[in-house]
Amino acid sequence: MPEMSTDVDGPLLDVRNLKIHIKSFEGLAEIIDDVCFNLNKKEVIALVGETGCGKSLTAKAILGVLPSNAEVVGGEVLYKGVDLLKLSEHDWRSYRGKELSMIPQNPMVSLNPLLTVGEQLMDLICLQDQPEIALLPYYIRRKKLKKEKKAYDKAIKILEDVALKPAERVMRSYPFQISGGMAQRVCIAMALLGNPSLLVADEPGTSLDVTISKVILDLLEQKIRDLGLSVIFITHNLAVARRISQRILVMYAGNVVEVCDSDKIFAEPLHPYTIGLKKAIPTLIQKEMISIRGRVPSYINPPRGCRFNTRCDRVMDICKLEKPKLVNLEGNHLVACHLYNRR
Amino acid sequence: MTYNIVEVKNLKKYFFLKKGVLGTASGVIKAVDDVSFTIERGKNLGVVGESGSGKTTLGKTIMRLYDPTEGEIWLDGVEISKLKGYELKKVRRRMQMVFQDPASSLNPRRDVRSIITAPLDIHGVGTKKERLARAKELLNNVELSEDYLYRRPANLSGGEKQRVSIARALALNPDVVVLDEPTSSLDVSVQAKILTLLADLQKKLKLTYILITHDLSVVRNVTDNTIVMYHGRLVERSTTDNVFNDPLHPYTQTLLSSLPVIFDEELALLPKAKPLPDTSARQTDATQGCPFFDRCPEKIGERCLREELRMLEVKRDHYVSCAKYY
Amino acid sequence: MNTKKNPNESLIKEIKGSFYLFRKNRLAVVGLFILMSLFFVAIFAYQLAPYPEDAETSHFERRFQPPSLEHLFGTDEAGRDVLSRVIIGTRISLPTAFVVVFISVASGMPLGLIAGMLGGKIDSIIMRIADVWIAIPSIVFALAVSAILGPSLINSAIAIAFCAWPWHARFIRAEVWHIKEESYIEAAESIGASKWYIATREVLPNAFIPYIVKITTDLGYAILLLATLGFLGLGAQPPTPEWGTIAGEGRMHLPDIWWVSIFPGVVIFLAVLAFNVVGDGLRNVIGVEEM
Repeated sequence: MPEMSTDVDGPLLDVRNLKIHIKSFEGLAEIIDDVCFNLNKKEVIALVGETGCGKSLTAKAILGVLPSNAEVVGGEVLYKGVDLLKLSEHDWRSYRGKELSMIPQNPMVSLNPLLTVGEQLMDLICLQDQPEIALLPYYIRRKKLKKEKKAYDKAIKILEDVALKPAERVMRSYPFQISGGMAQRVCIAMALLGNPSLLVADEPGTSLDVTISKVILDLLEQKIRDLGLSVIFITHNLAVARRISQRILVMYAGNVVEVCDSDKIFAEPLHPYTIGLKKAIPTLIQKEMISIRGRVPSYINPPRGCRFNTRCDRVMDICKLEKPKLVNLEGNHLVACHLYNRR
Repeated sequence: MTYNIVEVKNLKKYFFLKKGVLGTASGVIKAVDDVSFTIERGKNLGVVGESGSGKTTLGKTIMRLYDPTEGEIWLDGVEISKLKGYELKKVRRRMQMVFQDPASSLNPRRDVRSIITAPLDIHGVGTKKERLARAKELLNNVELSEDYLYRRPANLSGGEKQRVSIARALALNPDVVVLDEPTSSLDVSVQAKILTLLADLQKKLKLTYILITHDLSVVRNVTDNTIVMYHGRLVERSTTDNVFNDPLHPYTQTLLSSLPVIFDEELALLPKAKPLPDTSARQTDATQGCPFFDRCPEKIGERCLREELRMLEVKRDHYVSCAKYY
Repeated sequence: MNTKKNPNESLIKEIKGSFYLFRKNRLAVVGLFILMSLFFVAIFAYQLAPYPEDAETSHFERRFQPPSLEHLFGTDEAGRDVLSRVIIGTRISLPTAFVVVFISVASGMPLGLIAGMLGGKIDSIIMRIADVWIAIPSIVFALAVSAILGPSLINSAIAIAFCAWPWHARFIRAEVWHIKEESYIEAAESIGASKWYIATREVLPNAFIPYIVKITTDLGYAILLLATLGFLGLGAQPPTPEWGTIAGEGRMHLPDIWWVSIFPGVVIFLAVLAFNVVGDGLRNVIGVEEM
């Protein structure tokens, strides 16, 4: 296993110039194009963007679970100094679930329908200490798990930690017998099992009702605080992003276009896309919704220069030729736009 | 031309569960339980609630996709709850529906032209040439170019699919359009476009919308009146302004307080109720009384369960079904 | 995106996309190649067979010659070139298999469609009948048919098709059941479409997509069953050069005179395998298309 750095001051995760292409029969889709950001210790950042902007793909790259037709063409993902992109599957075993962990988008689909919640939890717990268990066939495993008292107790404790009571009943239930909110909590419990330092939350709560997702978000916030986690929170809901994160990263068409503190970004958005988003959201105070004209460009032949240039109200000639770099304006507010790039 | 385009009286839709080898009924889901309201022509109604509230079932029952168990549905002066066959088919031209998931509401094997002209085909309207012309006209209305005529749903984006869905709903010139979560699966920027489009179409074609959604901010901006549903029952009914500025039912307050907001100014507008953790029981409970009892932060006690629920006009034109006000 | 007012552009795009996905499964491509070769042979059988007259005529002076350069598959008990007979047999085995499957589809699909669309009692009745029918073993049934009507290719084809329709009915009914849940069916209902319209214009085109996979594998199975019946003497009768019949003729002379049975057997094996892997390849195409 590669040596991790013990640099206390640096960021926990440093993504540099990440470029990912996807092979499809129509051609090569250059989806992720030069993504750069970092995550500091005990910080929660929100990766915000619409469908297809590449936020899920970025998360998958960080966790090393890219689909088979995806190719990392360039860049580094440095976690405590180690480039995750260069890890072998064998090395990943010490990272995934232990240092880095993920909460999936749709909890009902992410749980194994053939095993009870208890069996799945205990399976994971045993896997932490005894990886050989994974090699046993399904039936032998079930029998073996029944005997593991320590794992059972730990599983009960974990479920109570995420406020699932009565824990024994949940342990005995199959995924189809529990509600969406409960399943989401189980997934959160599973993600926190290995005491990770970095958590990737992929749109948790989007498949749930608003009152229940509020409770889930409350729970997540509490856990993040208690455990001092660093979190990448992926969402398309700007309000949720504002609530849960300290910094917001806005992604558009495979690029990070703006980075700012959550409480400031909507007060003064700088990038035309962010400005457009702000005007388009239906809220309780503004009655008018103005949409952004045009549509997301194709990734197969992406436009030259800034990928937003076909839709931007303030497009200039240089936008069609040169890609703007992410530049730090005062107060840790980064924008990738030629309007602010007069250097 | 009646003043009230839609009137629903004591509408009930129950689903009876059959269990056992002999198939004897052994449980009932009261998806819609005694719902009444009226809609004035041109004034949109928002139906708000979470999953399991019965709002989608309500929409589908009004559309006669389900047969009501009890109650009356009046569409422009005609009672439609018991119509069948040809009579029902005729009535269907007056009200149409836009479904929640644009991806599955369009037949993947058909192209856009075929999907939009299907209603004309089914009702025998126009010649082939006329239908093609009408298809072009409808595409124009939803701001899609003629190039879309021969595309398949697989080659359309979410927003485009939803537009085609809307075009199909407008093919027969209906009076009422039921919109079931029209923008829930769409991105924010696309959502704005669709909602603006719907507003324009309403003015142009003199439509009345019934908007079913869980997204309160959309309801705020689109509807004139709102009803709030919980577990099949109507808990609050009033103008949209009233429901948002002065929510009277504890559930409505819970719903509004759960809304995450972007702007600080919005926070000031929301109530500060405290919701309880989810222990959502299914509606097969035959328990009497208020269905929100388990989760209600303001429950009174025995009275909530024993009192017969009814909608009371607590303030002017503002109806609530809650023991607090009885 | 290029937009043309060509009605077929979407279809062409879909076909191209399907080919791309199909190509990913190498075995399926090999299978497709085998099938295309078989079709080619069937069309040009009389040109390709080195001894085309051997379908009928005997040359007893040449009997039982082992495989050689003049007779690649050897000769049989009547001195006929086995290779030529197998080649001409393509014209019998393949078309008959298609006929068998066609009959099964024509009888099973409508019943499955009706059962699925109407539900209730009609569904139960049709499905119960299908359940009982499936229990009839096709070989035993073919035996009965040949005992009553006499053994022949046509009778065995009818026997097989007769026993196969319940599988088709079940399959289509399951697909219909699944498709009925989709929103576009509800949308059609809300517009006022009749059940007939929904069945034919909305459900069936969608049910057909996975059905194609089943039909492909069924073709392979039909070839196998026809060959089995031919081998047992219940199907095509000698001197008809159906693959199974040829193999059956050589049965008594095994294992010394192996070429009369083995070569047709290998061809049967390849044909059935080809249909199966092509069906599998199609499954990949369809599975992803759902996305």
